[in-house]
Amino acid sequence: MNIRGVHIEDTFAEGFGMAAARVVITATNLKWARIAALKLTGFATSVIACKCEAAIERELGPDETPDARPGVAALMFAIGTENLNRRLVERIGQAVLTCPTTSCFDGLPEAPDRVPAGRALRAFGDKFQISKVVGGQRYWRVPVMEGEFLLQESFGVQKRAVGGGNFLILGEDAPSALAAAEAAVAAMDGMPGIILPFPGGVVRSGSKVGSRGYKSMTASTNDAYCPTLRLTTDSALAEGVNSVLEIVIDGLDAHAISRAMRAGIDAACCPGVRAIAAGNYGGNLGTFHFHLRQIMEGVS
Amino acid sequence: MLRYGFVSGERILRRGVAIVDTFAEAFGMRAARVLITARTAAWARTAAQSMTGFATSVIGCKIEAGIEAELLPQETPDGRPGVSVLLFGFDADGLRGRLVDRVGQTVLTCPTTACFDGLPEAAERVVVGGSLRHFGDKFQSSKVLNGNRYWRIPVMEGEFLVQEAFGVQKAIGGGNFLILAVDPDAALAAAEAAVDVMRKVRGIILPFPGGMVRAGSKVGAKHYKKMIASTNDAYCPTLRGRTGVTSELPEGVNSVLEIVVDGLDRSAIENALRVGIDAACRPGVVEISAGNYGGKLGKHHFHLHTLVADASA
Repeated sequence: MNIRGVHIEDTFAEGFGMAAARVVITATNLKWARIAALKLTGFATSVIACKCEAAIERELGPDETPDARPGVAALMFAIGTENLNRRLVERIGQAVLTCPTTSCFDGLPEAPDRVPAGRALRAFGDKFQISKVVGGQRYWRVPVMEGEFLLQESFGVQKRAVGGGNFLILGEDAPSALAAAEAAVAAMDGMPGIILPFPGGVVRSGSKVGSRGYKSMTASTNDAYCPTLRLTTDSALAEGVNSVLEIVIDGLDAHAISRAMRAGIDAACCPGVRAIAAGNYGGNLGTFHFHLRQIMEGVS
Repeated sequence: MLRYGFVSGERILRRGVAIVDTFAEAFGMRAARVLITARTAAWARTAAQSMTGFATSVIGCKIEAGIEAELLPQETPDGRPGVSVLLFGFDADGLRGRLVDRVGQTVLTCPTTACFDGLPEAAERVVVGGSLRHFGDKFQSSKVLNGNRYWRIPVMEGEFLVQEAFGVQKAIGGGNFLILAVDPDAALAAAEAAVDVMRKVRGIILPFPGGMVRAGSKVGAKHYKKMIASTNDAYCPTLRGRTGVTSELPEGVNSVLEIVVDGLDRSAIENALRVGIDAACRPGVVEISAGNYGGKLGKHHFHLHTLVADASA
């Protein structure tokens, strides 16, 4: 398979089951909603080191938010529902409760599974907080110095969310790989139900499980895809490939990831890109397999 | 208990805003400065933004961090555009762990970046690149330049250059002042004006979202035994007149915001507080005050009247 001269390898991305929540932050203007969302989702690139993966999903117009103010939707992914609840409590408590003018709402109202993150945070009000039930949902008004912080008591959990969708951009040189990755991120930006948890949506340090040189390392550089190691290791890189970047995608379901991969890969097929590949573990670790050629069917 | 606006004398007026005779009480911490360079300023900022997320309070996040400044190519070790980030922890060992976590997750992973120590003069040094090098699975190599070791870690994009050790120095966390205003819009406008000028001061960061915090706290809670901190009810305008609340807010004050400052040394925090307080004295602001614990917990005291007198001199 070939898209505008870029070879699509016959391989698949391997994704894992995760639990996800959607946090809707509103504020007096978009600037303050974004400020809170960036703090909420910082240092959240991989579940192993950061305990959750998170990023901004998209910006919301006043007609799309519960309180008719501008807002931002952020998605947070973790391993297990209880773990996700803890991450919601600590991150909303540090980054939204503290941030001027913001309110915080559940963005998965249809989800039958729910966690009481707002109930834990209400205790900051030291029993001066009060609550209202509107439309079957409880909201807490927590007094703060600025006025009050309004937040929803419970957040929906999507238990069948997927982490680790991905594809690799094999470029002729570093600027080509970066330009293609930036084009892919721009194409996927704002697509519903997905986030790209790494800085700028891109990761340059793909890893393999474990390490040959250090027994205690759980992951180490994916030497087969490192262009500077072509002569010193069993390289997977074809002649002419000198820089590789990966896009990692977490989604509320497998379908959202497939759609984003299709848009992202299409945009990444630029001049200077030799091939598109994907990362997997042989198919034995993750439940979700995203076959590149199936996803790109009809594009080539 | 945390006391805000501990009044011991008279007020000074600045452009109609009363500066309360009180002080901010701050604590000894340890700080590191991380320089991130990249092909463009935008990629350096992207890495720095991810690195400094979820880093508002050391108790909740294990670290306080923020962007100190953007750096021109002539200000960085490799002649590329960059960003300097300050990180504050309780001690050197904790700081080392957080640096390894955060550089590993947000800089190692980020296209085109390299990562350098920004406190080369600091005598105390912690190993950061020397731990992250293990990601290279023994394919990494190192060079020593001018007595400092740098690691070249092979990654898919090419290689990640990171310095082996980072300087750590004594620093101060929790410098602060409070803006007491007639309404939320006036408080926010004054706090935004203060943040704008304070962000130009080197050697400090404002770790909270947008540089400010609206959820000031008191130590412990009156009603929940387990809570280590809860809302500072004396400064909550919506609680004025509620049973069990002794409000500290003057009549006419209906919204309060706090600016928290962490700094590499006392003079950096003083400079930031001085310009910030001056900028915050705007229409709609009634008082500038500060948060302290009676002076017994933190050894660094910043008296507002001294700061304001210096500004007038």
